[in-house]
Amino acid sequence: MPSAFVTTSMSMESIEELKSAFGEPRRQHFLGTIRYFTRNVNLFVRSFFPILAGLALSDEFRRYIEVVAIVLLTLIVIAAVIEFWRFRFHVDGQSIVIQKGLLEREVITIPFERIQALHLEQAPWQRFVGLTALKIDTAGTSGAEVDLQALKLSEAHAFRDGIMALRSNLAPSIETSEMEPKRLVSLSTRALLKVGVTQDHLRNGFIALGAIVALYEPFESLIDAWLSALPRIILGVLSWTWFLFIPLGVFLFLILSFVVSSAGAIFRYYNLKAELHDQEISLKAGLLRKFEYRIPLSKIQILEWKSNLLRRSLHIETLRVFQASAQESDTSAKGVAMSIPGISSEASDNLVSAVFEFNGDDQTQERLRPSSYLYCRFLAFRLLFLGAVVIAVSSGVALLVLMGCVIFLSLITARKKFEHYWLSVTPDICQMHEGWLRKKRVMFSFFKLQRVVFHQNALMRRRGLAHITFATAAGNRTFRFLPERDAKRLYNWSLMKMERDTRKWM
Amino acid sequence: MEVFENSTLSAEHLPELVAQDFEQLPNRYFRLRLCTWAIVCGVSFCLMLGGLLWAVFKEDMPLTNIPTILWGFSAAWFLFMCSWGFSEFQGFDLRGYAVRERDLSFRSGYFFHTYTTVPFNRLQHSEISQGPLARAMKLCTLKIYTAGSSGANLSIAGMDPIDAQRIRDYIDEHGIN
Repeated sequence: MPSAFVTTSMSMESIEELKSAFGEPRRQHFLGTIRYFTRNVNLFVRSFFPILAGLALSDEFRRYIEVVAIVLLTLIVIAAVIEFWRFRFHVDGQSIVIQKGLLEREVITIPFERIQALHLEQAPWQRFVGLTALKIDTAGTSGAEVDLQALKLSEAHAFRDGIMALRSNLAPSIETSEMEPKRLVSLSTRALLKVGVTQDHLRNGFIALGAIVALYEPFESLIDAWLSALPRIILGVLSWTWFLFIPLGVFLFLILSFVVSSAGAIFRYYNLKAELHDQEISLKAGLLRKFEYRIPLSKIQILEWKSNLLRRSLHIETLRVFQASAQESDTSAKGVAMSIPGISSEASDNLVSAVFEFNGDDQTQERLRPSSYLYCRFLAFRLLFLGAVVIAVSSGVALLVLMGCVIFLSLITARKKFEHYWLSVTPDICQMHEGWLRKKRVMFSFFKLQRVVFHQNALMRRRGLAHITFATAAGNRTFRFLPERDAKRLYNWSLMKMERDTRKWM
Repeated sequence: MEVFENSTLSAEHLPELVAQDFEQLPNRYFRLRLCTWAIVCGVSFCLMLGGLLWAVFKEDMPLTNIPTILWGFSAAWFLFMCSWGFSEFQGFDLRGYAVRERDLSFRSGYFFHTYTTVPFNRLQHSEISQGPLARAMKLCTLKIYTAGSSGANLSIAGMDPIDAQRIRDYIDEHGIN
C-alpha cells in the first residue's frame, strides 16, 4: 500500500528530525515571554487583589500610582524574561528533559512511555503570530504536567509526531502499520448548529446568570444612580407592577441561556474533526482558541455518552473519552477528558470496537438491575420534596388538586428513572445506564480497573443491598443499590479479570 | 485462564472473599480508638460544661432558663457520642485485612460497611506511616496507592509494624507486574 509506506517513512524521518532539531537544550520562541508576562500579571493581581483595592482608596498611594505601576510592571517583565531564558528543553535518549525555574532551578525528566498525550492549543494571539502552546500530559506523578508556551507551529507538529513515533517504537507489541483514519465526527456548519442547539441550555444559562450576578457589583452604583434619576411616578408604578416583569425575566433568561450556550458550543466546536486512527483518536476544533488533542487508544479508560431529548431526536450524542489521569480531582485539566459532540451511533460503534478488543466469542450480555427499594427511594424523595413545596404554596381545594398531580407525577418519573438505571455486563465489558430524559451511558473494561469497593450501610445490610464502586485510572464509577448477591458476583468477577488478564491497562 | 475467559458470570467458579480470611487488627488498636473516642468525648463535654458555667456565673443566666436549643444540642451530642462508641465496640470485629495470592483486601465500618480490594499488579507504590501516638503503641498505617486518584486508595490503620512490613515484602516479591 503506498500510503502505508509513506507514513512509515515519514515517521522515520521525523525521528531523525526530532533528534537533530531537539537534541540540544533550546529555548522557546521569544514571544513566549508574552505568555509568561500575562500569566504573572494575572497571578499578581489575583493574589494581591484585596491589598490593591485597599490601596487604590488612599490618596497618598494615588499620587505615586504611576511610579508604583511602572516599577511593578518592570519587575514582572524582568521575571518573565528570566523565566523564558531559564526554560530550556531537549530530547535526551528516551525522555524529554526540561530545565526551568525563576529562583530555584528545576530539572524535569519525562520518559516517553510516561507521556499520555501531547496537546496543541492556540490562543488567538498565538495564531496571529503562528505559534502554539504544547501541553504534555503525564500520568502517575502529579505536578509533572509541563506546558511549552510558544513554539512555531511546524516545530510543534514535528516535536509531537516525533515523540509519538518514538514512543510507538518503544512498545514492540503495537503494530506500526497505519491504516486510513476513520472519520468519527466532522462538523459541517449544519451539524455544528445542531450541536449548538442541543446544548444543555438551562444549565449553561444558570452558569451565565451566576457570572452576571458576580459581575454586577461594580455596576451597582451606576444602576442605583440610573434608578434614582427616574421620575417618582415611574418608580411608584414599578413597585406595584413588578410581577408583570416575571414572564419577561423568564423569557430573557431562556433567550440568554440559549444564546450563551449555543454560541459557546459554536466557538468551541467550530470546524471540529474527530478521527479514529490505528492507534489513537485525534480531535481538532476551535474558532478563536484552537486545540488539537490526540489520545492513544490503549490509554482510554472510560467512554461516556450523554444525550438529552433534543440530541436523541437528531440521532446524536456527546461522547467523553477519559484517559488515565494523575489526579482524579483534576478534571479541570483539559487533557484528562476529551469531549466529542455530535457523534452518531455508527461512529460510536466504530470507536467502541477499536477501543475494546472483543476477544473470545462469548459476548453474552447479562442485565443487572438495582433492587426495587431504589424505586421506593426515588418516589419517597420526590413526594417529600414536591409535597413540601405544594403544602408551602397552596391550601384548600388547590392543595388537594396539586397533591394529586404531585403524586401522579412522582409515580411516573420515579418509575421511569428506576427503569432506566441498569447495568449490562459482558465477560469483558461493563456498561452503566442511567437517566430517562437525559441519558448517560458509561462503558469500561473490567481488566482496566484499579480496584473495587463494595459498600453498604446498616439498613442496606438488613435488606441485602449494596453499592459497588469501580475505580479506574480515570476516576470512579458507582452503581447503587444492587442486590448483595449480584454485587458480590461483580466484585469477584472484576477482581478475577484484573488479576488474570495479561493485557496492559495502560 | 481460558476457562475463566469464556464462562458467563457465574459466582460459583470464582474464589470468594469469606469472613474467615480476614485477619483482625491487634487489640492495642482497639484501645487506641477507644482512647480517641474518650478524649473527644471528654474534651467536648468539658467545653460544653465550661460554656454553661460561664453563662450561669458570669452572665447571670438563671439555671431554669436554659434555652431549648441547648437541650436539643446536648441530646444530639449525647446520641452522636453513644452511636460512635457503639460502632467502635461493634465495628472492631468487622475491621480487618486479608492478603490473598494476588490481592489485598480491607474491610471496616459498622454503620457504613466497606470492602476494598486492590490487586497487587495495580499497585503504584506503598507507604508505611506512623504518628507519635501510634509509635508509642507500636502501631502503624499501611497505605497503598493505585493510579487514578489522589491520596491513598487503601489505607489500613492500626497494623502491627511487623505485619505491615511482611505484607510489603510480600508485595515486593510477588507484586508489581
